[in-house]
Amino acid sequence: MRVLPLLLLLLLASCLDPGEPGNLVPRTVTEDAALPRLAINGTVLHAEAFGDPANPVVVVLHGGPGEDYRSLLPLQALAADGYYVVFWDQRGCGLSQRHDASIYSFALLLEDLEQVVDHYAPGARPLVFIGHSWGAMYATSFINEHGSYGGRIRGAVLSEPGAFTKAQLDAFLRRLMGSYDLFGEQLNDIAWSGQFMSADDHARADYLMMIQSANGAPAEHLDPANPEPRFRSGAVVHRALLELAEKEGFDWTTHLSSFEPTVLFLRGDLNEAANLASQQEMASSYRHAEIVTIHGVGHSMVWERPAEYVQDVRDYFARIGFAGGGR
Amino acid sequence: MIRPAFAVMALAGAAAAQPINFGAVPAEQTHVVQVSGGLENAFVASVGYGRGLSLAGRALVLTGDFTLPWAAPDLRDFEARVGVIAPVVESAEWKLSVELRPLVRGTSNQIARMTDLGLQSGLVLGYYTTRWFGGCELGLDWAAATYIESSARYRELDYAGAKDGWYASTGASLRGGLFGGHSFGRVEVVASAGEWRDLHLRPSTVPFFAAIGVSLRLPR
Repeated sequence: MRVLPLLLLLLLASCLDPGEPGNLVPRTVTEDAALPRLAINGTVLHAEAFGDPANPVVVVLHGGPGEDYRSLLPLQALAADGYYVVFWDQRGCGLSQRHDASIYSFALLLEDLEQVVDHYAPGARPLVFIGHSWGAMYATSFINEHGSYGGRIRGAVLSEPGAFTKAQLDAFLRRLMGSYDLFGEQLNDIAWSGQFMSADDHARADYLMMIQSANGAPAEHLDPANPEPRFRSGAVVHRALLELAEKEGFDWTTHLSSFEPTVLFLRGDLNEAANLASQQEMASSYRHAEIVTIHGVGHSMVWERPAEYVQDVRDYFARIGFAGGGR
Repeated sequence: MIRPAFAVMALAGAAAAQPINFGAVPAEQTHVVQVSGGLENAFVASVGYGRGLSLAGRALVLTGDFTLPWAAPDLRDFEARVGVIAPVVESAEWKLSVELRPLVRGTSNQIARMTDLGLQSGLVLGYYTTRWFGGCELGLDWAAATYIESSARYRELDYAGAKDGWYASTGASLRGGLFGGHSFGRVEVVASAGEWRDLHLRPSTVPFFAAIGVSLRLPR
């Protein structure tokens, strides 16, 4: 009998470590020297850019919070149009460095984005944001804070932001969470999986989030036959920002009316959470905004309908006079 | 002879440690079958069997139960437990019991198939009479070792380098709750509810549980 505990300990010691990066989730930039990176503002971001660095810049902001830019990579097609297209995993997301939840604030995220912009679009280089979901909210918070950033921000493509204010966020989350079937397999899998893995470290927390967010919310109408690829979820930042929003509230509409460029809201008509009415409400906060709808697609429009999405972006760039380099 | 109202309490329960009424019947040689259901990391239904024994003058109950989430039934999602619950401190109708329940649990989702060898342990403080009983419980659910086999989708879309194999101590949760029940004849009705927290005391994925069970004591 005395041998049994020892045997059990030996067996456990021979098991893999779920918290070891590389086992269940890929390593981040701080653990894998081969990954492309950008060190700014006390963190190291997973980042890469396509095209000629001298060209007008497109800064892509992924969704979440806590997702990554992998499913937005079809936008690198814009590099062939003469743009310098920048992809980066936001702080704590994707393959970027992980941090404790206590460091996060909306002000810190604004500093991060400012330094990303200054790095990839130095001087007076013109730029446009393309923000998807949370990324569209992030871009709006920056515009609300910095306006056109000295005339450098020439426009923004905002794809299905959830909210610009706390009240809008509450309504959005009700639509999103209310779409789950209480007795459906998806919610059942999310709930049951929580017994197998607990968020005791970044790797386990991220893996659990990847399990639980694999199919998106039903209201988003992602195509199950064409799921989005992901690098790695960022569970801590996801939770931290939602808690911040709940605790501090936010209103990123206070200065949007002074932003002169026209903003494009590019949406899919199937998304019931970021529905047309919500997009119209948010668009009305900007001085000049237009809404373009891609039909027959939900929230994963960049991944599922890349050609249409990129064409709509090209058309918008033409309308606002944001020409690629050499054009 | 051990006081009534002991046996049903230990069994009752799906994943939640719904108590047995140690006060209603003599525990020795008591056979109990139970069905229960509730919200316990999913909507679940359980069947179980308990056998009361007396060991060195002390009552204990051996249990076994099988649980399936019933919403969108999928036989790859399951939990099977064996266990023992035994009072360690007694004073009249009050009993402080220890429970240990080794378990095997499975799930299959878009990312992986997982099989977990775990252990639920806990302390149950209860007041047991022949007709009524109630109390509180504190427990730990430990996923001691989990075999994880990544899905083809996860490898193709997300992470090709994911390693399949046994993983040590993938998760742990704390459980705290209240229970109460009523005995009439050979039947006991038991209800329990409470909260799940992780080891940092943050709410778990499904942060609360609630279950109700009906137990039938079989003739000796």
